[in-house]
Amino acid sequence: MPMSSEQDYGKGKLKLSFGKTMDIIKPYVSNRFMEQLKGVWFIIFYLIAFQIVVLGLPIVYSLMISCGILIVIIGLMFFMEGLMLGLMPFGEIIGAKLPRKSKLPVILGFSFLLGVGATFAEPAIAVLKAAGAGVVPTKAPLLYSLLNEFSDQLVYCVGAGVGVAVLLGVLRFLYGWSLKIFIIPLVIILATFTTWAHMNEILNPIIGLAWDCGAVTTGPVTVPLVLALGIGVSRVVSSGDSSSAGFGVVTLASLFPIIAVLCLGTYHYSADDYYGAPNSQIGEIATTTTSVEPVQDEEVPEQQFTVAEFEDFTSSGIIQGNYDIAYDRENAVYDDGKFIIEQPTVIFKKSNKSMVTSDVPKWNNNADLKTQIKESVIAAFMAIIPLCLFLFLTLKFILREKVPRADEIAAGLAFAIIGMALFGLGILLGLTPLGEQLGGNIPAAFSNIVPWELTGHAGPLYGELSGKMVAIGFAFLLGYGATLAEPALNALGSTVEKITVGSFKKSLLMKTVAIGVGVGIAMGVMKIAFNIPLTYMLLPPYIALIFLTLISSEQFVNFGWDSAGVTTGPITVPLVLAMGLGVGASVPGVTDGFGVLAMASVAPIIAVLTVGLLISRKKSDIEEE
Amino acid sequence: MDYLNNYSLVTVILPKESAAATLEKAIESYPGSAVMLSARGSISSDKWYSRVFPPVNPEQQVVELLVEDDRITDLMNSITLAGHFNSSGSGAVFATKCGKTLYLGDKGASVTSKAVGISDGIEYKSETTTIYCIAQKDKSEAIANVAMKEGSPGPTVVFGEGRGIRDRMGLLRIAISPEKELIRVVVNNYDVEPVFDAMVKEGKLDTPGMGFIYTMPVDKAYVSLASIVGEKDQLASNHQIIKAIDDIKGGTAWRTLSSDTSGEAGPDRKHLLDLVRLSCVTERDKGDEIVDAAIAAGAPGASIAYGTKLGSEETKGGINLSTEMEVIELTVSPKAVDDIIGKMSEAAKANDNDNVYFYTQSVPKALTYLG
Repeated sequence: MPMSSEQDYGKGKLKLSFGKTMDIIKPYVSNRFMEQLKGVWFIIFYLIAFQIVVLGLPIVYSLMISCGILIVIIGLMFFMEGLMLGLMPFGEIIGAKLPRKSKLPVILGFSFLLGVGATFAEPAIAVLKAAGAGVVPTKAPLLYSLLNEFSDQLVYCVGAGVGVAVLLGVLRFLYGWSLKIFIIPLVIILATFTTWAHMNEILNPIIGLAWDCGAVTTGPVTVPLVLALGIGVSRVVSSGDSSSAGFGVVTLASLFPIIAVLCLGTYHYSADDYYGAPNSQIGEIATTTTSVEPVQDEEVPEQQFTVAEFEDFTSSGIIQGNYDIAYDRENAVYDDGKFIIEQPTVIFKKSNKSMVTSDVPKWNNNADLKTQIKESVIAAFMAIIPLCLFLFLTLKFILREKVPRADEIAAGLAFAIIGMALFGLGILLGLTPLGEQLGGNIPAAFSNIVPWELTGHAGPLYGELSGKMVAIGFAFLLGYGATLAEPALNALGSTVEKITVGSFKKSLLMKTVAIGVGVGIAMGVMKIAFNIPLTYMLLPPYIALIFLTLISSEQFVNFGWDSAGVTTGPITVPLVLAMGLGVGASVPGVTDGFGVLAMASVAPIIAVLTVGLLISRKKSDIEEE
Repeated sequence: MDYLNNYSLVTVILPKESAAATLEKAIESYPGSAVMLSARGSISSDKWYSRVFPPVNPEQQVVELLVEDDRITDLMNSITLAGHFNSSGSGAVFATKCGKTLYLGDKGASVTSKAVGISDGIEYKSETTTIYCIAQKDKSEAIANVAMKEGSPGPTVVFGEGRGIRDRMGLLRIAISPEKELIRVVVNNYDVEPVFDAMVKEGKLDTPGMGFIYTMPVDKAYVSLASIVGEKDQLASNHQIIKAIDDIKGGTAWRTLSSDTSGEAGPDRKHLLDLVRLSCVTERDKGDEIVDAAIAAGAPGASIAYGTKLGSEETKGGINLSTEMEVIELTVSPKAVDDIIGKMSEAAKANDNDNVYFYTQSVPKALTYLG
């Protein structure tokens, strides 16, 4: 019936001239391009302006970066159109047919598998694994083990966590349960677990990882799909409050993996089989880490200065190329606002990296364009095809339904794959190098660094305290801008608008969330810059959250909590992690750059719930008049 | 065709949060033809910050029921009382006479309403008209706003889809969004002209592809939807004062046309006069063939809104499931209407679909781009 509809029309298919066709396509493309440009321009303009004006450094690889950014915008354009045309209608159909056509165990089995599958498809999981590469085994042995020899278990755990979350989320849609009855106990459990882990020297370092896992699982493919599924279910299921239908799964999918990872950590802690513990399967590990600490850089023996270079240095004082500096700071004294180290031993070591590097996601100078294109295309296929195949098989064999408007959906899926491949490539070419430059360079505001991919020294540009303030202010706007460009949030915003028939505007939600993320990231940078333990940064906001959640309406609880889950996507994560690690590396005593993302998840919930309470107060004011 | 002619369409607009409770209180059993659509209300938004942080509109539910003429008063009384329509912004109920009504299958039982309190004091207005406007998705907010500025109560907006030429373009159709917004507003007859003209102007509805607007007379209405709020300089807004005088004088006849607000004569727009709106309701996903048949029979296009059938909820394993419906609306010439209904019925029957009903209402005035 759907495929044949166009032939059935009395006047048949319309024949359009080439010019007419172009007249139709032109506004279609340009409108969508402008829409993405509107989302992206702020963060790009801001990053460039900050580097040039505030830090006074040039942009390295500026041509490649601008091409990359253009590709990001085109990729986003295709991807969003693909979501709206293909992926989301597909999810919606299944959601609308499933409750009527199949039994509860089938629905729940489907939901669990969808959750697990979506996690494996999510590209950000790989990013997280890469982030762990910088962990020093002796400092955080359990964290190191989880990210290395137990990394498969980690991914399975996160997958199972998301599976359970989707299952419970769908149950909630069907029976119309309040999201609050899930959130409050979960948050209390998490808070207790986290506090307990915080007290434990071995478990403490995995807190950041656990929370970031929660934030990272809900990405640009999973979120729209799950939201669409929920819209579909809410069309036919009349229990409960339909204005929040479709929401909540993202929240649960953010919280369950945290518990799962903490449990996994506790298991290995009690089994004593992590790195260096008695039952560990592996002995001494050859240093395979590409560490942030320059001293650990022994694995590249060919990286040595030649005698000629030394002579060059003694005569001119300039060292060619990149190098690491190591010096002991044991006899350092603080005197009259200066750090003074008397008779230090300073070691210059040749390096192919800049001093401050982040390993996430690694921008590799040497990799050629071809490999990168290939990798992006493969990643896009991996993220979309298996999931869609799963959905298609469910529709075909469990629901025994045809795909309505199959040509539109197929076109949409093709757009989504093209978009995702371009988007990934663009991020690699444009956003990552730009983010890494800034992430690496931002500590120049308060400490002495070698700028990214540049020779010579920069900074400190400002005093330590005011420099850190500049970094925190930078972090706010970075978070704000990156969030507005995030595709999953865009999809969430559209869903909110659709579910509320346009009452709640997408732009209101996106701006509120973006401000929240900005504040959260600023606080995360504050955490790193002043080396505040994550637990102190996370617990007070979460306690405030429980209170706000209790007094807010169901609808805003759903919108707010789900927004938190979608903020950490493919644009925010590389920019923020790079900055977190960059700042972390230049502050002594900071183990890792984790935790920033977790902060970026808490603040937007508070922001949305606050807006919700303001609106309901305004409403009751009007009614009283 | 065995047309029935003793039916009216009763439309109920309720705030979302209290809709279910109000309906529960007012209606004993639903007729076979009760569809509920999700909608949003309108609020005026001219605060300086509303461009950056747009305000949140009230969410509403629209219920459309086909009711025998002799049951209208009881139903409207019950809803008015159950919904506390005497307090402002609490909702609206209005009845529009149907010319022809046709059920392909069983027409189901009649609506029965519950007695809710004393209905003696309720005064319904008769001199009112509904204006329907089908607009592009991103234009509806502005159109609703100008309607409110011209004195209408807050318009109600429902999401819909447009059908017509787009579906004949093959895959190229993805370049044209089918998403439309269906705006409906109930105004005093006196306000019809200025509100209609303002909506046309704001929505540029006389230019190609921008939409369609038409009026339908209302027999009986109780409208208590929020109109413009926030005129803090005056204790009462001009509209409130005029409304109060209307109540004293018992109608809008006291207002003379000499005070017509549209001072500058608008461009000479060609209106379409005396059309018929044909509505067809069937189960969701079963309407495609019916729409195709209508277009093949000469209807210029159709707009479709999706909702659920009231009174059809079934429980399966503790889960409440409702039936999804689609409301197909076409505006056609009165001469063509029988033929189109015939073709649509045939298409439905050919697909063994008898869960279909049709009703027509008169459209005195309409406007769109005519080429």
